[in-house]
Amino acid sequence: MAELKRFLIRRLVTFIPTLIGVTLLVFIIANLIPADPARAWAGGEKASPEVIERIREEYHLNDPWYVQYVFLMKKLFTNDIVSPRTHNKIWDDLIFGTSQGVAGAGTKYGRFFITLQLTLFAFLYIVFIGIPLGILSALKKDSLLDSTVRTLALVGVSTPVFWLGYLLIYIFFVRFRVIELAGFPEPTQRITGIMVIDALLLGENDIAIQIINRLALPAFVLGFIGIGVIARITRNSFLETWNADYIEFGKARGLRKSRLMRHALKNALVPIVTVLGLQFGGLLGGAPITETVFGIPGMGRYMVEAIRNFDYPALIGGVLLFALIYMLANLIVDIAYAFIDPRVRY
Amino acid sequence: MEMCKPILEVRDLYVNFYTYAGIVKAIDGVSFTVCEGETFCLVGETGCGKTVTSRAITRLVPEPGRIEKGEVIYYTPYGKINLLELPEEKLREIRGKEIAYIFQDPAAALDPLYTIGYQIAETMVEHKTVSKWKEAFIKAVEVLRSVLMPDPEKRVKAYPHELSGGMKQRSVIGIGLSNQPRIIIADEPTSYLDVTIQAQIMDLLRKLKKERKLTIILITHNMGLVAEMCDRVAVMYAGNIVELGTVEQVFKNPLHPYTKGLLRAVPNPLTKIEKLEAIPGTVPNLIYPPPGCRFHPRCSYTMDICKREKPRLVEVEPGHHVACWLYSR
Amino acid sequence: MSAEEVYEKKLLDHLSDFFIKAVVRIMDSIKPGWSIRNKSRIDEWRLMLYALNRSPTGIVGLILVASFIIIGIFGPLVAPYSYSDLLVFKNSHYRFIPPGGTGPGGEVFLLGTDDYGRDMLSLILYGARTSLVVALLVMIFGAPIGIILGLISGYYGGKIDELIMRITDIFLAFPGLILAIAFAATLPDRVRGLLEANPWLQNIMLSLFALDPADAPRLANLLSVIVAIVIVWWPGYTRIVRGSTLSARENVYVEAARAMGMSSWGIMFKHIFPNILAPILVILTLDVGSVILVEAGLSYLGIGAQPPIADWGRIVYDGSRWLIRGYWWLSLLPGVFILLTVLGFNLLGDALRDVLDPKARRSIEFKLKKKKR
Repeated sequence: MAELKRFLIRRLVTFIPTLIGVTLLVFIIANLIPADPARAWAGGEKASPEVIERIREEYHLNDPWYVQYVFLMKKLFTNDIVSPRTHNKIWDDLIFGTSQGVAGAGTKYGRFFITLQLTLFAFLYIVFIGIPLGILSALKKDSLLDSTVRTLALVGVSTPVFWLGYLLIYIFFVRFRVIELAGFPEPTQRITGIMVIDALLLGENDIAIQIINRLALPAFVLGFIGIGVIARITRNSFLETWNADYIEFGKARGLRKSRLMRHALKNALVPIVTVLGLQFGGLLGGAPITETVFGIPGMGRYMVEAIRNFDYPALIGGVLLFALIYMLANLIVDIAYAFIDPRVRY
Repeated sequence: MEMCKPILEVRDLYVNFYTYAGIVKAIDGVSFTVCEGETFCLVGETGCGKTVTSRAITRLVPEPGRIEKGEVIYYTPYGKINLLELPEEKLREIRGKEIAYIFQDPAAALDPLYTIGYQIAETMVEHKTVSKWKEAFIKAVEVLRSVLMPDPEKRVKAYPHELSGGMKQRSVIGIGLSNQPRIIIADEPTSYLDVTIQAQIMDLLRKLKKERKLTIILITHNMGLVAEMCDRVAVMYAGNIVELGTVEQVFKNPLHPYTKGLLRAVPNPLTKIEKLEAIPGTVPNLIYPPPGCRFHPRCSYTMDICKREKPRLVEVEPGHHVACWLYSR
Repeated sequence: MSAEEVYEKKLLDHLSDFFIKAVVRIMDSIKPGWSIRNKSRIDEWRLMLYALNRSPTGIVGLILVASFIIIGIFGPLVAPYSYSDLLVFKNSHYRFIPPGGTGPGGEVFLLGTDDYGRDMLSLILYGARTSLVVALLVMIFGAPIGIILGLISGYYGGKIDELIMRITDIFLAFPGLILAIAFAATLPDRVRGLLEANPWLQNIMLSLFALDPADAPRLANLLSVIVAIVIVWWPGYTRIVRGSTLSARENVYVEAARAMGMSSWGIMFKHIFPNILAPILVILTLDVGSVILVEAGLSYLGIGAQPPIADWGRIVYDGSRWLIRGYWWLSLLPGVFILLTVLGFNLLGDALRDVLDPKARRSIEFKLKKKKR
C-alpha cells in the first residue's frame, strides 16, 4: 500500500506541468482574439465605456498577459472568479451547482456532473455490449457474426454522432414518441453527484426512471463509436490469449470451457482496459455534440457556449477540469493494471 | 522381458494440418503400445511429429490440425475405451485426471495472473478430487511438497513470475500429479531449463514414477535422457515411427538407417563412437512428402522399392520393430 | 521469376498494373533509371495492390472513396442548381419538397428541397467539394508537420524527444474537439485579415471550394476550421512516426549509413522514412475519414462553414430544426453521405493495414499463386 501511495503522489505531481501547459495553451488561444473581450462581455457595441472599463479592471485585462494568467489561475483555485456570461462562479456552474442556472431555475448539480452521468451511461453501453460482442466474435472466428462485428466497428467510427442522434430522434420521438427530449428532473437532495444514484439512494424511483429514460438514447449515441472499438479490441486480444500456451495447458489439465474462458479473458483484459481508458476521454470529448443534439445542459455545451461568447475564464476552467478527468482516467487505468496483473509493479 | 500389460494403444493415427500453404501430413500412420508402469520414449528431431502425436492421444491437436483417422485405446481398470470417439465432456474428465500432461515451457504453461496454489487447486476442483476450494488450497501445499518445492507453504501463494524456471516446472508437474493420474505425458520437460535443473527435474520424475507406479510417456530429442530414463523407445521421422524397441535394442543395435544416423550425430550414451556425423539432407516438406519411405531422399541405402512403397513396421527380433525395406521382404 | 508470371490476374490487377506502369514512367522521366534501382520496391507495391484487389471490404472502400473524390471534383460542375439558389423566393411551393417530389414548375428534385427551397442534391454535391478540400488541406499541412517532428523526435532522442513528447502530451491531454473549437472560434479575424491582404489566396480558395465570389467574407471561418484541425492533428502523427522511427533506427542499414558518414537528414528521409511509410499510409487513409468527421462535427456546432456555404455538417444542423416537423430529409440525407464517405476511408485503411502487414499478406499471396501441380 505504501508503494501505491508513493506511486499516486508521483503521478499526481506530473499532472501539474500538463495542467499548466493545457491552460496556458488555451489562454494563449483566447488572447489571439483581436476583438475586445471586455466589450463583448459588457454587451457588445452598445456597452457604456464605464462598464467596459470596470470589467477591464475586474479581470485585469489591462495588465500584461502573464499577470492575467496568474490572476486567472489563482482565482480559479479559490473559486473566486465569475463567468462574465452566466454571472455565476465558474466552479459553481461546473461542479457545485447554482441557485440560478442558465435557464433561471437553480440546480444542485454542476454541469460537469450532468456530463459525467451521461458519460457513465455511455460507458455502461460500451462495456456491456462491446465486450460480450467481442468475445462472441472471437469464439466464432471468421463466422458471419465475426465479420458483422468487424464491420460494425468500422461503421461505428464512421458515423457522425449528430446524424445518429437525429436518426434515433426521428425514429423514437417523431415517429413513435417513446422518449422525452425536454426537462431534466433532479432528485431532492444531492449526495454523490450522480443524479440517478442519488435518486435511487433517496428512494425516488420515479425520478431515477425519468433520468434513465431521458439519458438512454443520448448515451447510446455517445457510446456508439466505443461499442465497436471495444468489441474489436476485445476480439483481437481474446483471440491472442485464447491461443496462448496456458490455455492449451488448461485444456490438457481438463478445465471446463467456461473456466478456460475466464483465464483467457482476464489475460486479455490489459489491452481492453487501456482502450476503455482512452474511450472515457473520447466520450468526454464527444459530449458537446451529443449534448447539443439532445438538448442536455452539460459541460460540453457549456464550453461551446463559452467559446462562442469569448468567455474564456469559463473556458479555461472547463479545459482544466477536462484535462484533469482525462489524466485521472489514465491514472485509474494504470492502477487497474496492477489489480489485473501481478507482474505490474509501481 | 516381463509381460507387457497395455495401458495405452495408438493404432494407425493420421493427423493433417490444413494451412494456407497446403495440407501438412504431419502424422502418417503411427501405431504403438505403452505398457503399464513403463517409461516410453518418443524421440526424433524437431518437427517430426512427436508433440502432435502426444497431443492427439487426448484429442488436443491445435488448430488447424485435424485427426483424420486412427484409434487411441485407453485401458481403464474396468475395460478399454477409444479416446478418439469419446464425447468431449467425458474426455475432459480424463485429461488431467487419468492422463496428465507436462508441457515444454513451464513459463508459458502457467497462467501468469493466478497463483501457483490457485492453479493446482483449480485442477483438483475441476475434477472433483476435492469438493471445496479451501480444502483444495490446503492440499495444494501437499502437492507442492511432493514435487519437492522448497518452502511450499509460501510458494503456494506465489505467482509464476516470482518463481525460478525449475520451480515453475515443479509446479507444472505438481498440477499434473494433483489428481493422481495413471499416465503422465511429459513433452520435453527439461528443454527450457538450465542443465543443472534438468537433472533435478528428471530425478523428480523418476522418484514420482517409482512411488506412484506411474506410466510415463516422455517426448524428447535428447538421446542421453532416453538412455537414462526410458524402458522402451520409438524413433520418429517425418510423421512415422521408423524404429521401436527397448533402449538396449535400439541403442546397441540400431537397424533403421535414420536411427543409425541419429546415433552417430549425437554422443551415444551406450556405445563409444569416434566422431559425430551429421545426417545429409534436410527434413522433408510434409505438404509434399517424398513418396514411399519418407526417409529415402536422405538414405544411403536407398533401393527402388523405397521410392515407391512405404515400408511397414515389422518385428525383426522380439520387441524390436523397424520400418525399412532392408529388413522386410 | 517476376510477380507477373506467378499470379493469376483479374481485371482489377490489370488496372493496378496500368497504374504502377504509369507511376514508373513518370518517375523514370524525372530520374532516369529510377525503376531499375527500385525494382524490388515496385514489385512489393505491385503485390500489395494485388492483395488489396482480393479484399472485398477493401474494394468497397476503394469504390466509396473513388466516388467521393469524383463527386468532390465534378459535383459542383454538374449540380443542377447553385448552393445559393434560394428557390423559395421565386415560389414558396419550392419549400420542403420531399425526395423525388416535383416542384411547381414540374421539375423533379431527386433528394428534395430544404426550407429555403434549395435543391438538396446540389447542396450535397457542393458539400462533397467542401469536405474534400478541407480533408486535402488538413492532410497537406498537418501530416508533414507531424511526420517531420516524429522523425526528429524518434531519431535524435534525448532532450529534443523529451520536449516534443511533452508538447504532444499537452495536446493529447484534452479532447481535440474542444481545442479545435477554441482555435476555430478565435482564428477567423486573423484569417480574414490575411485573405484581405492577399486577394490571390482568396481567389484560389474561392475556386477550390467552388464558391460564389459573393461568399468571400465567409471563407475566413471555413479556413479557420482547417487551421484549427491542423493544429490539433499533428501530435497523433508525431506519436506514431516516433514509435516507428525508434524501431527503424535500430536497423543495420541505418547503422551502415551512419558509419558511411551520411547526414542525419539524409538517413531520416532516405532510409528511415521509406521504411515506415506503410503504417503512415494506413493512418493517413483512416485520418482522411476522421478529418471529414471532425470538420462535419465542428460545422454542426456552428463553427466553420457559415450558410449558405454548403457543408455537410452544417446542412444537418440547419435541417435539424425541421426534423420534429417530419421533414427528415433535410438533416438525415446529408448525414448518410458523411457516413458513406468516412466508412469508405475506414474500410480502405483497414484493408490496407492487412495488405501492408507482411504476415497477413503472405496468406493472401499463397491464395494468389497459380497452382503448379
